[in-house]
Amino acid sequence: MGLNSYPVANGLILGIETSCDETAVAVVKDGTTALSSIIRSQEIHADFGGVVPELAGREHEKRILTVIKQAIGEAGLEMHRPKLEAIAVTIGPGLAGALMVGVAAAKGLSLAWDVPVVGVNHLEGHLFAVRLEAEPIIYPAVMLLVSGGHTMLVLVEKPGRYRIVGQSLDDAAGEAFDKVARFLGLSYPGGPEIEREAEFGDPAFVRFPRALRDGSFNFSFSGLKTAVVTFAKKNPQVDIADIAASFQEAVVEILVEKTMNAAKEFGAKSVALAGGVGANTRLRTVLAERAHELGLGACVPSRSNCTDNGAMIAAAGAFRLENFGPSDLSIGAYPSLHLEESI
Amino acid sequence: MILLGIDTATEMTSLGLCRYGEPPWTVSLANPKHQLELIGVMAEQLFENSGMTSSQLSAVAVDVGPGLFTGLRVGISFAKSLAGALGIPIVPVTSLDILAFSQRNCPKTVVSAVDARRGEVFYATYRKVPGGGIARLSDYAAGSPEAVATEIESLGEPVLMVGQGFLRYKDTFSTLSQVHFAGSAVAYPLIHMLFEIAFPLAFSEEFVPAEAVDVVYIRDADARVNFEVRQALRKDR
Ligand SMILES: [Zn+2]
Repeated sequence: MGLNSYPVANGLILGIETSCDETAVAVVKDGTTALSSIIRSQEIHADFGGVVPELAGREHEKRILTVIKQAIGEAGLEMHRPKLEAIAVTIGPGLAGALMVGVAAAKGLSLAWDVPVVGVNHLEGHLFAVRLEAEPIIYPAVMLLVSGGHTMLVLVEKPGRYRIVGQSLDDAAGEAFDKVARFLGLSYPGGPEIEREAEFGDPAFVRFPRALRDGSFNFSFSGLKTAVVTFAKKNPQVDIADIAASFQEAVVEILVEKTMNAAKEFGAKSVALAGGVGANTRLRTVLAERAHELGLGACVPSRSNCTDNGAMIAAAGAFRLENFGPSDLSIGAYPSLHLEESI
Repeated sequence: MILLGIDTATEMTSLGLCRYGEPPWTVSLANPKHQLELIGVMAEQLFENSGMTSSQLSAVAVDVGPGLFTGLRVGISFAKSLAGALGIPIVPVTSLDILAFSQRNCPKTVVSAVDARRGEVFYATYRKVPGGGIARLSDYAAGSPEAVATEIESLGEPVLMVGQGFLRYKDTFSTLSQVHFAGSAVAYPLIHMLFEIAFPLAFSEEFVPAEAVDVVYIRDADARVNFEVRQALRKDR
């Protein structure tokens, strides 16, 4: 602990996450045990085939206090005197108007309870989701962070020490799922829809191209997306289930292959999954299998810890608080915040 | 009774602390891009300077709009969570009522307006009532400066216009006969006007539970409007 270290007495942290379309709040003890985790997904965006920023802001503002109260209540704390160490809140990256609701709410709570605020990078939050699992992760680890907004491979030497070893050069993996789903006439969000269809399809029906198999750890999904669309147009008789399964297989294969290659390259002891696409069953299964074959540890967090949630923000907040102290009350929202690399 | 007042409906960020019967502590800054950065620090300083504490508050009075959406959500999210955490209610007051209230002694019809962006203003019409105070005669509405000017002209009577929504489009409105503008000193909702409206409501317990407070939007999100137009067109085909 350096000069900035901050004494953590009872280790209770409230985590607030409003960067995209989940209004999520959790109470976490010692950065590892979620006492409550409330996630309210905004269904309002389904009609639009994607998240509408103005509507996301409206929904967050409407629900934020209700979700905070639920999280405090389910953790067995009192709303008027919860006795917390800190309030951790996502400050970016994400939608500006959505982030602002969470940060403003955190400040209100901070003044009412006289508890400090800790600003958390959403991406670092995802990397801390593994800390909420019963099985502790063994560092160094290569973490695959895949969601609607991000696709990156991060070498985590230990908490707080990161290097981004690869990322998507075009669409995020979740975006590719959404776009292919929309083309196939499936609804939004596309990930779960593709997965549902793929269950009844043949993953080997057609072999779609796997991009960037040149030893790089970067990803590209636009070629794959185009190949799926072209194939589906040329072969209207083919069952959507077979196309969905073949597409999903291509995505999963490339994600897992590069994760394993990166783990070998950087001498990682384990691999881990984070982000909303991490809820995909096929990805979870294949990643764990391949890690096992290679003698690597594998941490596949529960689905609710993969998708955006407040517990991961509280877990990262506990780390930030202990090592860097609380944030200033003048903290803002930073829509294009990057994950700070230190390796 | 002590109220905390919050107003982020326009480019101005204004906060105040007031014990009933005493002059309020207020702080106001014009920094529209940094309302989120300012709000917590301003509140903290108000508590420090006044010597009051958040636990002494009876309620939070907040401007719920209409106005600039992002700023309103910052102010209201802050107010809601603060009130919710203290277990106290909220007194919601609208921006247009606050502006009109500053002209409550004017014998003419009063119209207040705030900027709504997208080339529109939010506005409402008021009239002085016997025994003090001012009553709203119309719904809150949104319209282009030209449409609002036409509507005001059709009243056929002297009108006092108050609010930055009018000053911004002064060229359009100054062509009208029988109108005059309230000065720029009252162009933005003033926190002590918010208190003047909020205290009587608070004393008669016209509170709203914190989680039930919401922004007065008037206008649908553009995305929703566009979506509904698209759907309607689809049905026509
Ligand atoms: Zn995320």
